[in-house]
Amino acid sequence: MNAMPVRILLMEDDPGDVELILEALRGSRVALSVERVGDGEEGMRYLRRQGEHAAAIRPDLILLDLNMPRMDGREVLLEVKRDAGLRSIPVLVLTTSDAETDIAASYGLGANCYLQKPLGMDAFSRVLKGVEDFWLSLAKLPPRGVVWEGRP
Amino acid sequence: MGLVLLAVLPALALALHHGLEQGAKARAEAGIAVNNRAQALAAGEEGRLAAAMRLVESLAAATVVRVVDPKGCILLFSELLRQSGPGMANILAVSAGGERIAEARDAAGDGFPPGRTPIQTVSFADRDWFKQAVATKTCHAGPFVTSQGGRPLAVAACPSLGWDGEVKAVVAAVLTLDALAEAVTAAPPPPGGIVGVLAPSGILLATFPEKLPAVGRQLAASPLVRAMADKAFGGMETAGLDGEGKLVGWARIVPQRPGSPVVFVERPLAEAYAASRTLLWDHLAWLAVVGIVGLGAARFFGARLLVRPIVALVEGAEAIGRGDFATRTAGAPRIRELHRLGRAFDAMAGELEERGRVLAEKTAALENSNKDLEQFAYVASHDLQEPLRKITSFADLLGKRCAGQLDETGERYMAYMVDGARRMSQLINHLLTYSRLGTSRAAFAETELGQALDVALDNLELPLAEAGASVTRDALPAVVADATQLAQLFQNLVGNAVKYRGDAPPAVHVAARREDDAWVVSVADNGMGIAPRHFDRVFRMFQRLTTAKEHAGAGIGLAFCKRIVERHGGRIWVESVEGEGSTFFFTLPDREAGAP
Repeated sequence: MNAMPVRILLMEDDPGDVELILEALRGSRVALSVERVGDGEEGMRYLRRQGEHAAAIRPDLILLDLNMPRMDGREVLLEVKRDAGLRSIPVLVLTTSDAETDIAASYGLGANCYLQKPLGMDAFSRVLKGVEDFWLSLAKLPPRGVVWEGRP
Repeated sequence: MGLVLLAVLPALALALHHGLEQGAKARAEAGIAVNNRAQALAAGEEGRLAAAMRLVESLAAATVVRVVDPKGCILLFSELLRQSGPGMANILAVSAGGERIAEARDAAGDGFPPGRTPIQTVSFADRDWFKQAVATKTCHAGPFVTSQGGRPLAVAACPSLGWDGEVKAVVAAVLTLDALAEAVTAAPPPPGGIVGVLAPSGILLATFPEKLPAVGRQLAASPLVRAMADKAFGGMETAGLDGEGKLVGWARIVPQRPGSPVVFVERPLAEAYAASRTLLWDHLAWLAVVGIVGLGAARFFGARLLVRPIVALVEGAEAIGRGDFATRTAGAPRIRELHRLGRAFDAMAGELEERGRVLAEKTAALENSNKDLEQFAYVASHDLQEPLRKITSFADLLGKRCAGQLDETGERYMAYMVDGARRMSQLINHLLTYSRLGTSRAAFAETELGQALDVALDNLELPLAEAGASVTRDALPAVVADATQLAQLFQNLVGNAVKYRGDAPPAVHVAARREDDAWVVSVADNGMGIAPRHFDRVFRMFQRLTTAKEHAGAGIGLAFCKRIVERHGGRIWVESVEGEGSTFFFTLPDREAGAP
């Protein structure tokens, strides 16, 4: 178990969903620190430490909603995966859509995982439990401070 | 070109026929000409014979003869012989006793070969003409016979009667064919032609202008001679005296007397028909000229007036066939029918172009509507689900957080709320799936119906096992189709058969039969069946025949089936007897593999 809490950047415009996600993550056995941004533009400013997020800390994992105002999840994916300094951060798409085009586009843009927001609180909790079990426990996340800047 | 030839050919045939007819006419004219010539010669000879006869007759009545004046006779005879021309050779006066009284001779002098009595007196008493004249006391002309010198001669004799009616003397003249010879020499027959005189006995008496070897021979066996004996005049094509083919015309010198010699004219066929042949060649030459000029003109004008406009029409039609509806026929053909055809063609092309434009507009509208549908599908999958998810999730959360604070009614209300939201979410999902059936981009490929059924049965494993259902099948064909959708189709139909089962364990039978250019597939069950009035309704979306309590389901399965079958160009229907079972039929027309 990591001594330092796992830093998660949540890009989600819907306050209800934010609350549901936080609620689902509340009982997590892993120490977490969740930062939330309301749209893609703000998310990119956070990742690049610009503007109000100049003091932001690089996240270990990104939870990304696809449909957001101004800059949506797909554009965020494109930007992150094109940026050599950000490319290594795992991006988990978490969205209501189960459209095949969205799933295909997300993986095509380099998403690490595609999750559909399920119906009902119990199902929702199970999905985030899965994320916790796999991504926060089982999977080894990229080491902090070591950024491999080469081409993928 | 062939068409033009077809038009010109009858004209050529007509011209050729006319040429041949003209030729035949020329031949007939040649025949008539040769016959006329023979008749003219014969008539001339007849006239001379008659004149000679009259001369002899009048001499017989002359005083010098009756008084038996030899000197006077000789003078008279010589003068008459000189005047009478070549038709007469000798004139002779003989006493009743047969002795010569006087004689005038021509140069040849072979007219009356003198006969001698035993006492060496010249006597003509034994001559036929003398005997006949004495016996009959009438004038008489003998037949032509060839003299010793080879000259055909005939004797005409008249008795000179005294006052008492007794024969005092006989006057005779020798008739020759020299006048005929002169007439022929004056107007000779064409080269190779010949004029001949034939004795009724069949002996050839003479030929003019030259004497042929056949003269003096008996020719009675030749077909020509037989024909001459039969008719006073005529003409025919036959072998001539020299054996060559000849056109022959003939005429009896004295037409009424069968014993009269015949004058005939021979012309070589080649020469006689030269005119007709020339005529034919002229015709053929003109024919060729007219034919060539006609064909050339037909080709030229045909190409301009007929072929070119038709080719233009054909090219236009081909262009339209390729989808180039803007094509129009260029220029107005000068032939009225072609002009009309061209206008009709242009009108048709205009109509097609208009229809193509309308079709393009409709297609664009359809594409737009399809895009809208896809947009709707996306909205349904995300934006409509979003609030529902919110309702259910927070209802759940509320239920958990406030457990114990709500009374039983409050909890029931909450359950209704959650259930409603869930069902709405389900409906949206079905709608979504339904709309996606039409926008699937999967290609149609060769698919074994049996394999699609296997997939469906795998998916239905649990419900089939729970119901104790049995599924049987006939041999199923391979079709060109979307394999996934076919499996969905079978899954819905077999699933329905199990879901709407009767009292007995479900038994489903899948079969296929060939009908024209399509397969008709049937899925028969022994379930509860459907009333005929519902046969159409079952295929409509969200139409249910049973309540949700009786049978779970959104009322969308058969609407799915209908959409799938229709996307494959087929048709779906049901036949059923309530309480006994239903049979669902669908058709899958033959098609090429490729995009749907």
